[in-house]
Amino acid sequence: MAVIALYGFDEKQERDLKWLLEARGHQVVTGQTPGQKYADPHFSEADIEVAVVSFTAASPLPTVGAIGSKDLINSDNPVVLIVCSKFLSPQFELDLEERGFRVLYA
Amino acid sequence: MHDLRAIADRVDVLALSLRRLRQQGPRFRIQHAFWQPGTGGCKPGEEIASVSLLFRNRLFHVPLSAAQRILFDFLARQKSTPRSAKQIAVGIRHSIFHREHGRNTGILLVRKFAASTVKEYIKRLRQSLAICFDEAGLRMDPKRVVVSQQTTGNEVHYLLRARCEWLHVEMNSKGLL
Repeated sequence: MAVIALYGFDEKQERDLKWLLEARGHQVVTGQTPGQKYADPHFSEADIEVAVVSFTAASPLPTVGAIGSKDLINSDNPVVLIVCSKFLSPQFELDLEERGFRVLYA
Repeated sequence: MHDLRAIADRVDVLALSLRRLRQQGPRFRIQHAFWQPGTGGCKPGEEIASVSLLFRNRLFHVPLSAAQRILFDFLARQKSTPRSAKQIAVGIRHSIFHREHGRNTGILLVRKFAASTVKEYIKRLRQSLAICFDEAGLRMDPKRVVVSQQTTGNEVHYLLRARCEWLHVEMNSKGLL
């Protein structure tokens, strides 16, 4: 289906989400942080189609800018999904959506 | 803790939308103004007022001249059938909708089409799409939307690879809703 990259999840959630997404036919890349090149030689920044970013108190949002940058994701029309565990201010959420990010409260 | 199933469900939808974008092309809205209520829409006399790209829940205006809008509308209606420049010119000349384009405004807003002008309009159409895609942040070559298909002869056929919808707006001759 699609190549998905996960960012900012804790180890257990990352493992569980990877398993869940792979069971649905996606290829999942983990273990990367913004600014790093992909350690897994099977993937490059040009492959990532959907980036899923966990935004919690422990993983602040400045990383999102780096994730959306061309250095990390460079496929055609990649989608960045920001998963929030707390509500963002309406202004901030609107700013993110206008920059093309998707926001999910889950 | 996140709800992982909700995340996976959303990822499925996003992956599907990406696949649809690649396979079927982007989505456009073509607005017909001077629609007369009760006529059902896409009737002779209406004006092709604008073409907009629908991308990531937002509308982006495609800067097209009147002739380009007529061509885009024609290609959108014929989208499953590739046609040569000559076939397009003949098709537009014989289409009653395009022949009476804008009659409801009080003046006809028709343009003349010949095979050579169609080729030039196709080129300009791609340029306009490139401007719009750039503004929308859509990374797609306009040649993958207005597609040229080679034949075994010298003729080139053109095809619009996009999902189009039409919106009809009632407007009086002063341009007011």
